[in-house]
Amino acid sequence: MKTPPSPKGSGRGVRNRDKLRAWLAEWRADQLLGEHEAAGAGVVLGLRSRPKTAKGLKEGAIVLLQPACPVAAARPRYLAVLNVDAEADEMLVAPFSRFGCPAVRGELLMRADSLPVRVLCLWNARRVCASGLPPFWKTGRLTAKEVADAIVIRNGMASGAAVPKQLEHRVGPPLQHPLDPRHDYIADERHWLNACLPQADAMQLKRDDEPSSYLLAAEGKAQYRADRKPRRGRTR
Amino acid sequence: MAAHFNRYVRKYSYRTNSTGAGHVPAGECVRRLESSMAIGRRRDGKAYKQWISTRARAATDDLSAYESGAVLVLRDVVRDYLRQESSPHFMVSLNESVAGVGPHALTVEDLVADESEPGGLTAERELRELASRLAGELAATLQKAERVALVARRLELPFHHHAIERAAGCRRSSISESCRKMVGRVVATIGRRYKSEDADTRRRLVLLTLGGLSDAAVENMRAGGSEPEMAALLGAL
Repeated sequence: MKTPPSPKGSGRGVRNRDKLRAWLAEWRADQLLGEHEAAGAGVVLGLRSRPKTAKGLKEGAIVLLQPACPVAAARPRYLAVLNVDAEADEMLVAPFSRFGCPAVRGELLMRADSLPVRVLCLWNARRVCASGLPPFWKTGRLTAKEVADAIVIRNGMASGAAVPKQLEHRVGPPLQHPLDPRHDYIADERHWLNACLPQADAMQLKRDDEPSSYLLAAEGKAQYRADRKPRRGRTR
Repeated sequence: MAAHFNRYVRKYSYRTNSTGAGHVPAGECVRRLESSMAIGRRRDGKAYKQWISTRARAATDDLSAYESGAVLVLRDVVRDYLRQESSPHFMVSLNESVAGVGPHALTVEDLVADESEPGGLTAERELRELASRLAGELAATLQKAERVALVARRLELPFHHHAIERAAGCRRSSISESCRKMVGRVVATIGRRYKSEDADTRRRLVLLTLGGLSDAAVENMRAGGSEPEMAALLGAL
C-alpha cells in the first residue's frame, strides 16, 4: 500500500514552485534593468596597488576580483574559497550569484543580509592553482559551518546523492525543462568564470532529470560509440 | 546616486505596468547601497568601493567612469529593493510566458517539476475502499455516546450543546471520554492490522475511517428518529 498524494500537492513541490517564481521575478527584473551605462568602463591593465597573492588565502575566505579583465570590470565578482590544498598548491573556489534566490539545486542560500554573498553557486565551483587566481581583495569570511554546508552540497552533486533534509530549504528548484531561462543564466555565469579562471577544472552541470543513458525527445540518435577515441595510426 | 536609483525603479514600474515602490529619498538610497553591499562589519567588507575607484582609474574620464561603476553596483541593489518592497508586483504568475508567444509559449508552470506519481491515485482509491470496509465493520460496535460525539463533530457543535447532551443522555465530560476512547480504538485496530505500513499511510487510513464512521453515525441517527431539535440540526447537513 503506497502513501497517497496530498490533493494540494507535496510541500516540497509547492516550495520549489515558489522558489522558481521568486528567481524568475529577479531574472525578469535583471533583464529589464539590464541596459546600463557603459561610459568610462575601464579595465585596469597596470594595477597601482600590488595585488594580494593567493598563497595567504585560507578556507572560507571571500574575495572580490579586481577589475583586471573585461568580465571582472563588468560587475563586482565575488568568490569563496572552500578548500585549500597546500601540498598540491590548489584551491576549490565557487562564485557567488548576482541573484538573491538560488536558481538550481547546486546553489545554496548563505546569508540573507549581504547581497553580494547571498547565494553560492556550487555547480560552478572549480579547482584552481593558487597562482591562477586573478588579482583580488579579501573582503570577508565564511564561517566553518557555512563552508561545511557548501561542501556537502558540492560533494552531493558530484556523487548524485540527495540534498540533506536540513539544507533542502536553502537550495534552488530542480532544473528540468530544456527551454528554461536558467540555462541562459548558467551559460552566463560559466562564461565569466571561464574568462577569469581559464586554467580551472570545472564541473559539468546536468539537468536534474537528465538520464545518462537514453536520449531526449528532441535529440538525434547518438552515433554508436561516438565517444571512443580513434586508434592511433588508423585515422584517415 | 538617488537619481539613478529612482530612474531604475521608474523603469521597472513602467515596463511591468506596476505602480512601483514610489520615490526613494536620497538618504535611503545611500543607506540601502551601504547595507546591501557590505559584507560583515569590518572595513574590508566594503571592498566594492575599491572596485569602483580602481575601475575608474583606468578610464580617461574619471568622473563618468566612477559614476558608471557605481551604477553597475546600484542596479543589483535596486533589484533587491524591488524584491523586498514591491513583492505583489514582483511575483510571477504561473501562467506567465517565459519564452515564446501564442498558445505554444512556455509558461512558468511548464518549468515546475511534476511530482505527481501515476501510482498515487490508485493507492488513494485503494485506501478509501479499505477505510470504507473498516468503517462498516467498526460502526456496528459504536456506543450511543460515541455516535453522538461523531455527529457533534460533523455538525461542529460543542459537546456541551444541550441537543448533544440530550441525545447522548450524558454530560459533556462523558461524551468527550467516549469520543477519546473510540478514536483510540480505531487507531489501535489500524495499528495492529497494518503495522507493516508507514506512519503516514496509517494516519491517512485513520482519518478516512473516522470520516466513514461519522457518515455511518449520521445515517444511523437519521434512520433511528431523533428529537426534533437534533433532527433539525441533522437536516442542515
